[in-house]
Amino acid sequence: MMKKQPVIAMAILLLAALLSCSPRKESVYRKSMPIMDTIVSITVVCESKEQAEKALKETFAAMDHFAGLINFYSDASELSAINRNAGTSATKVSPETFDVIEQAVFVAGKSGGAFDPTIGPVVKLWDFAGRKMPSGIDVSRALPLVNYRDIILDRKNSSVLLRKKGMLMDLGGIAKGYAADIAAASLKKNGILSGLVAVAGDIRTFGMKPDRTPWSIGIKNPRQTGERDEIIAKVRLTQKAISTSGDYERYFIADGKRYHHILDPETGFSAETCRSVSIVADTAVYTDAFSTAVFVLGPEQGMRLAKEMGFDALIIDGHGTTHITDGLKEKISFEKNT
Amino acid sequence: MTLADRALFTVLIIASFAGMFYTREALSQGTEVIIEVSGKPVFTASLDLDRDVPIEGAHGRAGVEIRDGKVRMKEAPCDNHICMKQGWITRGTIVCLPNSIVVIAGGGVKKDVDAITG
Repeated sequence: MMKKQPVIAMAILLLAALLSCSPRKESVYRKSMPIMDTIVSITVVCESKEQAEKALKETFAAMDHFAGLINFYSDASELSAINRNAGTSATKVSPETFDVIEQAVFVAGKSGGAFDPTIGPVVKLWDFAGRKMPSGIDVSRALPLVNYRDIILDRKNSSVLLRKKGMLMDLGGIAKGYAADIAAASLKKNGILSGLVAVAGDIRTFGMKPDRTPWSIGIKNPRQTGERDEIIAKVRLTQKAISTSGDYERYFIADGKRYHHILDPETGFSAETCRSVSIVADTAVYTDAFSTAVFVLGPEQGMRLAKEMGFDALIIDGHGTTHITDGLKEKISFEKNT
Repeated sequence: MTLADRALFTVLIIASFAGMFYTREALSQGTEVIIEVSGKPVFTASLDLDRDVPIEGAHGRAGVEIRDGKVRMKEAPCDNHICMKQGWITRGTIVCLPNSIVVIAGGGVKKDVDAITG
């Protein structure tokens, strides 16, 4: 027959174990705002609602300020001033604008121009919503204006000059990632130890979730057929950023061929050898820009670049074959329904 | 009933309630629609309940319609009506930028991931 004391002790231990599993004081707060023509969602883990609200308010304000500086479509932005002054004079810009352009030039150099922020004159020729592609002649006229080496950066004066008249800088391939990094820095400055910033598909994570597990990020299936196969894989991340570039966002199909928004700066037409590229790195400014660069370079060259940079990568090539770095294999699980 | 039996009984009751709580947390809460104005949630409901929802945006009244598990921006005081042209959705977001209204269907992301890249 069982003695009473061990049973009571067992009961107390079980109760203690259950109580230790009860929710911590930390709560999850999430807020979304439309910024940079997309939805920015920020999730923070902290103990007080007031702290979360203050951090979110300041962070959204910092992102909104940055968005105003580099807005391609606003005449009032610093980016528009740089573009207006192309071929004539250098434009003095704020430290954030200078820094994001410097980062863009760095990625352009590392990728041999596969990512090029001066692709604006070619982008302007395409109308994906209207299913219109430019003529080869128009593209060949615009291509001489596309060259990141013609961006003259003057750090001392914090100024930027585009060497040739007609050049157009478009930071669409890097600014969202940069904004996610701004947000992460702002949250940390406000004492937030754990959070997730999603500027559309450019995501920066830090810390852990309240249950002490990493953040779980779904990677979109580039050939989704319905709601059940929306995600092709899940990646567990903390202290890392992830971005995905895919041929399924802005595209149209003409004569059986897919024309999408990721343009090869060398040809002015859509890059053809990948369906999607996901990059994992420490900062979102790199994941955003390098996912485009790797997409343009294609599976072999792109994978070499990712490894050289010390990034993790998942490349789904034009045939649907996946290429994955060793480092990512332990963090990723593929969905069964895709 | 001995003291030990009572203690064990109590623990088992707590355990069963805790189990219910955690299961509820882990399972999907159903497909929801969330409407935000200037970043603040002003309306949350199930997509399963048909209704018309008037929403006061930054520049006037808009109308969101929920019907047959789908949601759309039915009316909006903006000039371009991009939000209305987007039509019905079951997942994802409809944004009326001039009016600072965001309609998020299906919670914006799948329940078992924290965000989606791509």
